[in-house]
Amino acid sequence: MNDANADRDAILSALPSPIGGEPPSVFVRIRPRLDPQSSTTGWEAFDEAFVGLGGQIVPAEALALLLRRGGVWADDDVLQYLPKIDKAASVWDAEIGVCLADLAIAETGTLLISAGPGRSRMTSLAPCVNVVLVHEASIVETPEDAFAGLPKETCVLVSGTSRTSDIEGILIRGVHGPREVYLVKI
Amino acid sequence: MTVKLMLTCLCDAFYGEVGIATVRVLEHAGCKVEFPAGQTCCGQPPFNAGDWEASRSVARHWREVFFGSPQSEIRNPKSAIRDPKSEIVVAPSSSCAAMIREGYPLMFGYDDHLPVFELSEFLVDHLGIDKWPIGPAPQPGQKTKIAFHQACHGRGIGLKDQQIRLLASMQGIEIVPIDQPEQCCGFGGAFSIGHPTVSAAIGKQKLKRVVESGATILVSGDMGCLIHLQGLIEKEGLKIEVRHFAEILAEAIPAKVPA
Amino acid sequence: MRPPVEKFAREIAPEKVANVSSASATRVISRIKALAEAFEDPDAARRHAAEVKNYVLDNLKDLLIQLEAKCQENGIRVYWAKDGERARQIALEICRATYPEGGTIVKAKSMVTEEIHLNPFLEENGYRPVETDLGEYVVQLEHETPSHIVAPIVHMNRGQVANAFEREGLGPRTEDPVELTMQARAKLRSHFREAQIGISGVNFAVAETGRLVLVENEGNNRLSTTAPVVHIAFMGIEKILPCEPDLALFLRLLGCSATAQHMTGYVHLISGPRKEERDGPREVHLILLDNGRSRILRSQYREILRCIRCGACQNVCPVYRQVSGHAYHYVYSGPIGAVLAPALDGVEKMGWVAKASSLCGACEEVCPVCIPIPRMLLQIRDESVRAGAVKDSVPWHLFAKAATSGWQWRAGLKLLPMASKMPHPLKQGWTEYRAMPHRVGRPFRSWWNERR
Repeated sequence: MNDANADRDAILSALPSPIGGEPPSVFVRIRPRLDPQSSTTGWEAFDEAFVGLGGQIVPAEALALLLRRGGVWADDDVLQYLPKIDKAASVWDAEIGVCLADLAIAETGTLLISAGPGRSRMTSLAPCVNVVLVHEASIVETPEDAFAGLPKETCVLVSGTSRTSDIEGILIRGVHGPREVYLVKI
Repeated sequence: MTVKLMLTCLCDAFYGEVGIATVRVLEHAGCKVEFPAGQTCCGQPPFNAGDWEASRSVARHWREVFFGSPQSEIRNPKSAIRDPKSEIVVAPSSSCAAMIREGYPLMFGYDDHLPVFELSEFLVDHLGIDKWPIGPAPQPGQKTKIAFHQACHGRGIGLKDQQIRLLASMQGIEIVPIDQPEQCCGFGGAFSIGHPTVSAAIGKQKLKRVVESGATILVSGDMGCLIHLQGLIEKEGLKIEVRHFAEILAEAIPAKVPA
Repeated sequence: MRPPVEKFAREIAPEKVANVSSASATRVISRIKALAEAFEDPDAARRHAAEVKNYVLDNLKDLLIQLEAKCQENGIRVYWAKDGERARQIALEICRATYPEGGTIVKAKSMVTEEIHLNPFLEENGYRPVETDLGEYVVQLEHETPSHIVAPIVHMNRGQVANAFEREGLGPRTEDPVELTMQARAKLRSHFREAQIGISGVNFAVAETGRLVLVENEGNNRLSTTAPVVHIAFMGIEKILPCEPDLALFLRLLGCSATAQHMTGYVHLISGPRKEERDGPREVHLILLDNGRSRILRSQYREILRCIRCGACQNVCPVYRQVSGHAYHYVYSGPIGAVLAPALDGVEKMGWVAKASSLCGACEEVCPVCIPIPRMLLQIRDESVRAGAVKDSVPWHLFAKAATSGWQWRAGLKLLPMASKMPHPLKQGWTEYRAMPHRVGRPFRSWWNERR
């Protein structure tokens, strides 16, 4: 694409010379003093935030019942933790998508899900129910902690269900992505 | 200390009582007040409208009257100001103070911020007054309920809550909260004439919230806001009285008892 | 000759004003709450963000080269477009290579693609771009334009959405927002499945790692950039951040300022096309767009390039609330638009937008990257007057003449009461809604002189 290169030169030469120097250091965020009654760290904090976003925490024993709701699309690396499932033909036809999260972020109730071999990027997106498994040890306190060491692969930070408030500011879940998100700690 | 009073063009034209009240307030605070008679306007209206050539000529006249600097373009005004400590200018208007402190550097391209202060920031920040009136005063019989509007141009000079604190410290005043107090009144200088429908709609919303609060007196610190709101009030027949906060302060000054 | 925003204000339906006004007021309050919950000192966060963006603008040339290299390492193809026309052309070539006969393209919400009028161009060339963000989808069906950066149909109500969906045959008529949303979901799902190309913008591009960051709540952005075989991302050249840890600050500020969220529902961090996973696009293309930004960078309006497109300035603007985004007749509206429009398209064409402001400064107060919008509006007004682009009705030179002479001024004061009574076109602007100001009480000067 020779034309694209011509524009490259034009744009770069139109930009002022760089001033150089070091970028400002990463912002050190001070958390405001929260209500002492509410939990601030670890799984307690995560659970509170996650549920506040419309998520639901489910014990491992309840998985079998949950997965019986319909066709399941599961990533390869999560199969070992699951009971027998009724596999859907494609991720689009599945009622439930099951995947493993890399980690949980306590403060915001967020789950980090990365792409990788045997995984589908769509598992946590196309089906209207998303079941996420996460190891109990895989938890960090804040988004700042997570951004200090993101995986190299394409990944997504999921905080709750798919939602919109475009129509009159009314909150509606499951507009394009999952309407329900379940978390199972393993 | 001695201060020079900047009357503002609006008070010069229409609201002399606000200027008189400002003098009374400054004298009660222990200042000697001077009034340079050649003053006209700070140049804000044409600046705001984009006619910086016209504004610069008015600004040069302003500087000449208040700081004795020559009529030509000044590159380093510090040398033109004889003694900043004794040449403080006080105005009953945050928009005028913002114009001179921040607008002049932008318009002339230099980096000097002249010692011009809005009345409440002068009283509170520079004289350290936090209660009004100063010294003993007779207890008023009942409290007057007022609604307060802070002029947006306070943002330009970093005005925080100096005006409302002085009012709140007064025994005879009760401030009634209004909804969304930070919203503009809609005046905006030339904007009020170029975009009258928008300007009036914004002002009417402000007045609606004042009416809803139950207050019948609206106090503010900028005559720009007040002529606009006053004009709407009269046209709409609303039962709201509009006062400048300097007048409220002046009225609370105990009368001197003759010896 | 009324200014366009004033003209619009006279014609706008009161219902539309009410929708915009109340939605904006709610957003203002929720933003403050969210920021207070996120930061001990929100202003320190904003100032730091401004510093980071200043660094980016000061070193944009180097950062763009770094971004390009890293993206290419990741398998992302990078193109440079000096203006909208070139960007559209590049996109078309990519589309033709994928789908020579034309076809459906799914689009995620992207202001920069609206800036370059991408959709009409693609349609002319046989493609069918479908907006998949719910609000943008409605806007597309109605052949309208979005009225807010973040909330495209803030000016509409459910009845209007119902009309649009009924007309398009999405399902039986309903005014229930949940049912309407589900109708849209079903229809758009069929487009996600059939589309070979997905188009998006970019919220942040990280120079250090060559990663593209897209934020959303609905899921349509992820679907548009994951399901189709080809993903084309458009990005203004200023949307860079130096390194990944900076994302924490900016995502929080964007979330709190735009939608009062601590974290948007989905933060999609794209490292490139499909690698070992079972799905994802096989091709990812990044189009870097200048379209006047390099010129703005060299001008007195350079701070506007810090903008992260949160829309907080629109929510708080008293003028925007009264007239809605459509009054600005430009892709970017409200305070951000009032600077961007003349900065991008010139004062001759768009200088008038900067006059539709009371200069209240609320925008600067809420901006997460501390953009000094009022100062720039004043500078645009000055530039417009010098260019002869905007004609002010008030003869300021006459005012200046009287205001530079003590005796002329005092004489003028004496004549003022009489002048107030005389008709004049200027008065009309005032007296249509307001009573004329008149002298109240004693004149100051005579009081002062008697005192001495």
